[in-house]
Amino acid sequence: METAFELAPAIVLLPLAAFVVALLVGEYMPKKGALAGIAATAGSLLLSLYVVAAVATGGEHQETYFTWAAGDAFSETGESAIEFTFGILLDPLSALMLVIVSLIAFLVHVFSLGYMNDEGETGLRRYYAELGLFTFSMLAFVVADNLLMAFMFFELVGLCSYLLIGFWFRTESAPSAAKKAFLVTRFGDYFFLLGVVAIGATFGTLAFQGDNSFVAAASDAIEGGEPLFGFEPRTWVTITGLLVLGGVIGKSAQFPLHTWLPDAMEGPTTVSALIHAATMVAAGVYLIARMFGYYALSPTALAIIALVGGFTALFAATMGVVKDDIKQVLAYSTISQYGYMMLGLGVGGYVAGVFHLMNHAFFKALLFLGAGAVIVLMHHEQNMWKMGGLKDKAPVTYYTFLAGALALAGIVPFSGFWSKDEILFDAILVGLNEPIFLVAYAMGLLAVFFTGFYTFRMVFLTFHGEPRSEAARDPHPVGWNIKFPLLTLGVLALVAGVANLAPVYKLTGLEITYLEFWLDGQYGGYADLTYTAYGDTVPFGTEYIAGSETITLLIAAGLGLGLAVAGAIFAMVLYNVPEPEPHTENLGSARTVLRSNYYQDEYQVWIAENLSLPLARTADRFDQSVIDGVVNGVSSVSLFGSSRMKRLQTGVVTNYAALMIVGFIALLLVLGVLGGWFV
Amino acid sequence: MSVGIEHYVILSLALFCIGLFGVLTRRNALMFLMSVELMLNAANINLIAFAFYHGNLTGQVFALFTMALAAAEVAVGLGIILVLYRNFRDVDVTVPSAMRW
Amino acid sequence: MTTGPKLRLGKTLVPGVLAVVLFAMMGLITLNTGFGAMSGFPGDVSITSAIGYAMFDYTSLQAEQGVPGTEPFLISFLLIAVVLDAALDASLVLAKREEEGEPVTALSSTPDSDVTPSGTGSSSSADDATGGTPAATDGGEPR
Repeated sequence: METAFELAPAIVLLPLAAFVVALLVGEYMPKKGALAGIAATAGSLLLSLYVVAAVATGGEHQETYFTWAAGDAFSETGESAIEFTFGILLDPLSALMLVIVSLIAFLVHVFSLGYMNDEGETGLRRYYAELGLFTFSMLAFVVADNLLMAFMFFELVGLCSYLLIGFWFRTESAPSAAKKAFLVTRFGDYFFLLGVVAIGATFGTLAFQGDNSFVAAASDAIEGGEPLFGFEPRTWVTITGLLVLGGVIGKSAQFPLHTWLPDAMEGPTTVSALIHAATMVAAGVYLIARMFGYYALSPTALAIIALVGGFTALFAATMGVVKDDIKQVLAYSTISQYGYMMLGLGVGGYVAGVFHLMNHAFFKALLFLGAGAVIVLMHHEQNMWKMGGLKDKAPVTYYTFLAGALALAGIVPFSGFWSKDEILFDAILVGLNEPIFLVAYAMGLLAVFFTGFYTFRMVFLTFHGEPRSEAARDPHPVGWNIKFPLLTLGVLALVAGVANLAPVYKLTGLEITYLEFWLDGQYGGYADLTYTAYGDTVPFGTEYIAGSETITLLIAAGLGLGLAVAGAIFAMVLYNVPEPEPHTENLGSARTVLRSNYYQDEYQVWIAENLSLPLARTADRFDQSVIDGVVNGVSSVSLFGSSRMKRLQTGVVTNYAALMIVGFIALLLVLGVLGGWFV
Repeated sequence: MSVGIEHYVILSLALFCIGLFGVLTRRNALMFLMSVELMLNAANINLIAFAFYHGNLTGQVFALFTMALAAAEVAVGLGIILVLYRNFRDVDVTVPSAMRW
Repeated sequence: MTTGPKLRLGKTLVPGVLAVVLFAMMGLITLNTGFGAMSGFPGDVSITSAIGYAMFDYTSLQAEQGVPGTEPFLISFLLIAVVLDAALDASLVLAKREEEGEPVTALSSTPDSDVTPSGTGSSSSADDATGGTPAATDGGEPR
């Protein structure tokens, strides 16, 4: 299956070609570049499936394509040379992610025909070009084989996110939201860059895999016990891991850098579906999964990841409860679900985290595209209180949206249940051994209730009841280019859980946990990047309730499912009525706090205005007065000196004669003393 | 004591320095020109003395030529002073000082 | 009552110190130099004719009755003749005045121009044979 690996760069380069085509000749194309994008992403999808098939039959691949800098290294572990390269790494994780990204990109391109082209939007050439650039960057990030290349494409997807959020740049809110997204993620990326430099300077290598990877170097360093930069090796690994985590927190919108994601809903809904649900925000979590061997060496970093994830899951879920805009509810839901993934990875549940990543990509993209369909139906109205009764008028949209909602809430047998249950199961196993993870587990569990509640509140307000406005009574019809992606993703939301039915396996012994086998390298893959290898490194022990795995499994699953169903029923009671009322107003001041997003935006603005701005002003003043002062001082010395010297030229000839004689006398003196004439 | 070459050299040196004194201190252009003549003649004395010192008449012949040159220089110098007076109404050499910073 | 020229003393003499310093230095150097003895000229040679023989490059005559070793200066003689000629013409050109297209010689003047070739400054001219209006005045013309 060598040709699959040889063709692998084409997966990344096809969307780049679509970008160039859309940019150059998009104006003259019938759909302004959409067809180029669709063709490119379809090609990428087919090649990705081919790569998956190749890996499944026992292959893995790593190749360096281009060394753009190489030289002597400074490294604590004694490496003498370092190289910065572009290369690809194809193993089970990256092959899986390639399929996910290219599939969703393809479906979003098709959906855009209905959402953007058919709605008569302008500036489409720019839109499709930016989508192509984004797809290229995301795919390149997924296959990156070293941390620096990953960082470069991490930044590039951030740029594309900025461009796409600010797509309707002539409004006031969209460019502002784009700047906010870029700045907040950039803030996190600054720490990421520090982490990359630290890892490179410590281990002399940035490769993810192999004997010369920084993961292997780190575990050697920990065994060796030599201090790195004055710290214990494990402590240093924790520090660098946390620095890289800064970028992850920014990109995956975890607390405290989550504030940009709700504002990012200013972009077109298709952009929200692609970037801010399924792929770009997944980049952070994917990076942790990619570097999991490194994080596994540091229990502190894992604990922090788990706590941040659990807290964010609960924190965002509470905010999603009081939102009225359908896209805002989904945005907070995204933040919350990525919290779950962080929780899963933080407790060492590598398979659980990646499984939830995959499922979430499908059902969240489905929900966003469904919201896009609803927006088209409602003639671009997004306030849920103006909707209602759409289920009879748009059955395809309704049923696919419902499938996504059931998956999101985690109701069996939809995909979301299996992955969320596995995360919570892994969390409680570790939590019974180390109590701090029990806190994270509790937060995640509580968030399940809120998730069920806000999801079904959204569904009932949008689709059930009586229509509450003209647009709801007379919706705009949607075409096949909207229905086709919805149906595809709806089916996936239903059946994707089959990939890893872990509870079934544990209860019946049937070996059907395909994803686990996949990530464990049993079909193909590198030995140091498998689930078993990670499991051996993760230092957490596990414990069962009453010593039995079955009992723990049933209790955990029961709690999770029960809370989700409870939340759904609560929402049904409140909102599944012909004329629902805004019950959240009964929460009083709690609602104000939640609607103001716990004042996080105000807090960040306060930091910028009262901490960064004075600091920047002082630095500027220092630069202008001291540094510029020195430079100006040098020039003023020269000017002053010359203005004094020029007065020698008086214009009177006798003065010149006198000066000549002075010079002559001086010369004689010097020569005489040196030559011994006077002695 | 017999007259050695040092006496002649000191003599010409003294004459030269007197002429130099005049060049540096005199304000009148004609006095300036006279001082320059003094310096030229100091050089002439030196030439003659060293011709006798080496027993070679080259110095004396050369002195004749310098005298001719001095005459030519004085002629041109006086012409310049005339033009100077026409333009500045004064033969003070410190007055024309426009060629300066 | 006219006053004679007065020597300007005071601050203007300061640059003169340089001349004194130069004299002192060079004198010291000269006295420290070990010159040899003066070799004179051959006694029976007529110096003037020897100069002539040498300057005009009469080698045979110089060998017999001249001072040996003197170099010929024929070309320099011709050149200096040219230079003297040039200097004479230059000074004539500089001295000529032109007013309204008519050359004015030094021996006449017009009422509009009171330029006289006489020095001013510290010296006043007593003999003013060429100054003033054609009706020769005795220096009483106010200037």
